[in-house]
Amino acid sequence: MHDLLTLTLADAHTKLAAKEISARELVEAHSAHSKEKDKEICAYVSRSFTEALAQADRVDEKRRFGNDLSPLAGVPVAIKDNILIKGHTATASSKILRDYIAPYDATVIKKLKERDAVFIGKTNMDEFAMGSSTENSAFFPTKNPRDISRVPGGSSGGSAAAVASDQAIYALGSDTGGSIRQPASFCGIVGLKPTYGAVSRYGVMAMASSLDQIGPLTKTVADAELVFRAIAGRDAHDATSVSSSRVHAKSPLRSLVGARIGVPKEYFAVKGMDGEVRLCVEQAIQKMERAGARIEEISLPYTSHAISAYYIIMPAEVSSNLARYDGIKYGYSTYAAGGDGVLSEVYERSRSEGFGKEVKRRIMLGTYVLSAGYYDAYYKKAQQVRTKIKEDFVKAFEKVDMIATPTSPTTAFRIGEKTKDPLEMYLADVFTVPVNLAGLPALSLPCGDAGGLPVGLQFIAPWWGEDTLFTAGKAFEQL
Amino acid sequence: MDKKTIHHIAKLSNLRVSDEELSSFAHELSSILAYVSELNTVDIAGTEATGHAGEQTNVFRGDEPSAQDLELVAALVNAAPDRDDGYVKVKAIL
Repeated sequence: MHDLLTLTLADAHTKLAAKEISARELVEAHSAHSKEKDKEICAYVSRSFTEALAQADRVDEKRRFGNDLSPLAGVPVAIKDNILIKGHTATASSKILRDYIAPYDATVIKKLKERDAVFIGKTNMDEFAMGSSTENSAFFPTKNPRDISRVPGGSSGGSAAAVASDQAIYALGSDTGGSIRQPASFCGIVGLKPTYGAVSRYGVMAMASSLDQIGPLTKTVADAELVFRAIAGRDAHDATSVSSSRVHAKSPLRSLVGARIGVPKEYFAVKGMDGEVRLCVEQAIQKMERAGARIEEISLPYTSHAISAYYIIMPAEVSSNLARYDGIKYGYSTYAAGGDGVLSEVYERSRSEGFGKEVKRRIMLGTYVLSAGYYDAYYKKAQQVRTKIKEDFVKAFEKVDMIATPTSPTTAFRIGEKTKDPLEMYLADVFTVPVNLAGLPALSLPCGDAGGLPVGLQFIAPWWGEDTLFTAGKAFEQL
Repeated sequence: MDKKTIHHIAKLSNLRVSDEELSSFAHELSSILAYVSELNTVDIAGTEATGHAGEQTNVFRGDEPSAQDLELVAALVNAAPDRDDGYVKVKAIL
């Protein structure tokens, strides 16, 4: 049974197609393991093993009559709890949505259902995806499977921990400033943040709409590619999504041999960079050089301003997007509490009792930077700096095919270590936020350990360069 | 950021903050704003603002009513704490 737990998506598909294993066996193995393991890890907010078994049986039945099923068919997947599955709770790990039942499927879920995926549970996260450690969950913190005294990263920490502890074969997460890549890095797995517009966000709770993307957390790069191909594409319900026929760079990388890989000097000189992490990533880059890649030092001069721009733009969009949680349409409400209150009192009380501290902090910060008299000083300036950050990458990609950096300046930190000072937590996003500001695709993959904990290597490709990431990532895994 | 400003921002955000929260938010938001104010050192004169990372194109559709998924409409209305005959009911505005 243990073998079933460690299967990659690609291997599970091969064995299912060859009828060596059944989808039912896969679900049973994961269910039995998860029931014990998750007492320790706390990756899941809710699980749906009974439904998963029924779905697995349907897939096994389907396979009896034909074998042209999707690579995702019959394979158990965990879904971040800010993504809607019709009839399942979708809490975003917030008290304000504790009992909320999704009335429809997100487009990514619809696509997975069409491919006969098996949903085994919804994963814990920082409330409304606001955080880098999953400690901001209103329910409980998730533990890092490699060391349970440490955080799994965030905000998709439950998804990363579920995959890393063999409680799911792969998972979906969302990434606004690093929320797929950083937990993937902390837990020693692969995480992909696709190009802005590659994957529809319909049915995913909006956090910062100019930055949000959905992507896979997987055991291998090949698995990330399989999931990406299944979920990408134009969707009439998300005006920013783009046709998959356009989702291809003009000349994707075919091999690491001769590949021009840019290494931005600014990413190795930040304050708080762990020496061992730096060494580990430098060694990974040397390995690629020995394999035939041409390593070039590049400069992304506006990197040091990315955190500031991000922590203005993101809260501004948060303050607007989270205005919808008002105690009137759905979710936690003080409406029934009575009193002779007026509507504004329902708004204020429902939101104040329903939202956690970090969410309130960001709503207020965003409201402030958008308020009369401060708009030009903060929001507009941040948007101008965003242009500069984007231009940095445009210039860099004139010279190189791909950029390699650490995913995070440190390995997984201890639970409670950064909760006292929100700013310190924000600074941990320094290598991931520039990618979201520019809308680029990026992949985090394990490149070794530092102090016994996994280190993530980040590849950044030009817009629509997912194929380049997959080629380079798969080649790196073989080194 | 003083407590008066926090109070004003909380009001604009439709949030109520306790006295204890007032002082911690004042402290935390001030330190975040102090950090992000480093953007004032960046020379961005004449730089256009980027609001979106994607390539935006207009999405058009005909101005025609589309068929409604009545089951979904019912589910959406039923999610509200109070409703009447298919409408969401709210408290008095004033």
